Amino acid sequence: MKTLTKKNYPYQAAGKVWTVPELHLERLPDGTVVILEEEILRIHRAIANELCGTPNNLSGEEMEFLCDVTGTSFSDIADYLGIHRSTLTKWRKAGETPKNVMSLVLKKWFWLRLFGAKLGNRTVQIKHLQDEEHFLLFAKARAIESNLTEPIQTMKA
Amino acid sequence: MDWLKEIEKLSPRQRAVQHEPETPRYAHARGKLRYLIASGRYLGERRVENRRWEIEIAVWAPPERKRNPGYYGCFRIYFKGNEVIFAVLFCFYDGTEGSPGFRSLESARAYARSEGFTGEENEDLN
Repeated sequence: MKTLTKKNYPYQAAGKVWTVPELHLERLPDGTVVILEEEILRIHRAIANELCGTPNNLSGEEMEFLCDVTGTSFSDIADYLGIHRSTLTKWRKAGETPKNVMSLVLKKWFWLRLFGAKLGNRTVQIKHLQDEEHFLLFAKARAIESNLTEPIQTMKA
Repeated sequence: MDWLKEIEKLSPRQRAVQHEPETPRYAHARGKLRYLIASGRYLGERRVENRRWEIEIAVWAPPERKRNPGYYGCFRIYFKGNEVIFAVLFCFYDGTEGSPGFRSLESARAYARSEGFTGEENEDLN
């Protein structure tokens, strides 16, 4: 296999376009160009970290993306939030997603599912735990500092 | 043989998605790769002409939301001897961008058959 590198690649995911500083593709012996699952996971972890670490409400596409990255089903979400599955179904039919505090709680849950096991023994200062928003900002930065993932940004229009 | 099980055993360096120009469907294919492998149902296989060490298989995974079509995908599997060494998702249909959408295993299986994928005719029908 031969590796091809694309700089500042516009990568679509979670209903947005992201700038991937370096995207690695592989050319197979038969000429087919592919993206390895390993590379997909690298980029998707970065996007998930960014989505979780920003305070906006989750959109439907973002929620589906985070489910895919973490291997979570919508039933798992309903169970975690302590709501009936039919409530989640109603939201989805209406094109709605969990808002405000519930959205932040979900982001924290997704983030912990992705990175929690690797940072489980690290100390967190109380000032970072005053609310979910503070914690998620701190968590996003900590995942990058700890080389668990990389920073990524949405593409500027 | 259920080749999906063999794909499941591969590492993330041995599984891939064929690269295409960016579209929401291609983005969806990358996002659903793991789901397709973990939850997909094997539909059949076909040989690749003049390529002794490759086969192609078709799979279908149910949608997470009942009103949506499921995910139909085709993998090209590469062998070294009898061992599966690499798999590429080269086709992904989810009903968007004019691609076919299959709401049931039976409809996906019928389409796969029309595309030359055979085998495991009675699997999962019960």
